[in-house]
Amino acid sequence: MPFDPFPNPFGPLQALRSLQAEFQRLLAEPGRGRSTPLAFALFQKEGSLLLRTPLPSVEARDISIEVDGNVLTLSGQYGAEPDEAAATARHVERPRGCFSRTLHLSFEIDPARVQARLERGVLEVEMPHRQRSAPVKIRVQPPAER
Amino acid sequence: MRRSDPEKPSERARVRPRTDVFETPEALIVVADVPGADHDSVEVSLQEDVLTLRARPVVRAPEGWQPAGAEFELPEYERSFRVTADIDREGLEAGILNGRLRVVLRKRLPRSNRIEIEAR
Repeated sequence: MPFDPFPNPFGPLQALRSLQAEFQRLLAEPGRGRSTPLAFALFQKEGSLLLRTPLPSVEARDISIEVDGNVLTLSGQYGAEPDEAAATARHVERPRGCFSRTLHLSFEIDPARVQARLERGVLEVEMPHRQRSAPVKIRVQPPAER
Repeated sequence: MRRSDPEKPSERARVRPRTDVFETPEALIVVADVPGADHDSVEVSLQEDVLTLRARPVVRAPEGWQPAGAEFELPEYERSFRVTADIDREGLEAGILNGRLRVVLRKRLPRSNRIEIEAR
C-alpha cells in the first residue's frame, strides 16, 4: 500500500487500516530490521484513543514512548532472564532483543496528556487528541489619522 | 472481527504460551509468557511426570471505551511438558511477575555413595 501523507480522517478505523498495512509490510519484509513486531488493540472515546499491547517480561523502565504530532513510536527491550547466564538453555521460544512499532494516526496527539501504564505484562497508552484552539477574530485597524 | 466475553472461557482462544526451559545442575526452570495473567488466574500442576501450566487472564475492555479494532485478544494459555528428570515434588516453586510465569522444579539429587564408618 503506498504511503498516504494525508490519510482520510475516519478516526480509529483509518488507524487500524494503517496498522494492518504496516503489519503486512513487516511480514512481507522479514529481513527488515531485527525488532519484534507488536500486536495492538485500539479503543476509542470522545477525544481520545487507547492503545493496548501485550509486553510480557518487560520492565516499565525499558519501554520508550515518543510522540511527534500524529505519530506515536513505541519501542524498547525485552528483559534478559536472570537464569540465562548461569543455566543451560534447553528450549527457547520467548522473544529477545528489541521491539519497535510506529503508529500514524489521523489526529494530532496532545503529548502533555499522554498516559501509559504497564500492568500484568500488558501496556496501555492513552492518547488524547490535541485540542484545536478556538478561532480568533482579528479586527483590521483603520489607518491612523495624521 | 470476533469479540468475546473474558468471563466465558469457552469462547476464548486457547494458545500455547511461548516458553523457555533452562537447566542447572540443581533444577529445571520453566519460563512462560502469559500477558494479562496474575496470581489468581494461573494454575501450575505436576501430575506423574507431566507439568501443566494454565492461565486465564481477565482483562476487560476499559470502562467507558469502545473497541476500535484489534490485532489480538488475550487468550487462555495452556501447555504441558513431560519432565524426564527426577523432580523433588516438595520443592516446586512458581511465581508470576509482569505477565511472566516462572516455575522452578528442583531435581532430586542422587544420594551420596559415601559410607560412614562408625568407630567402636
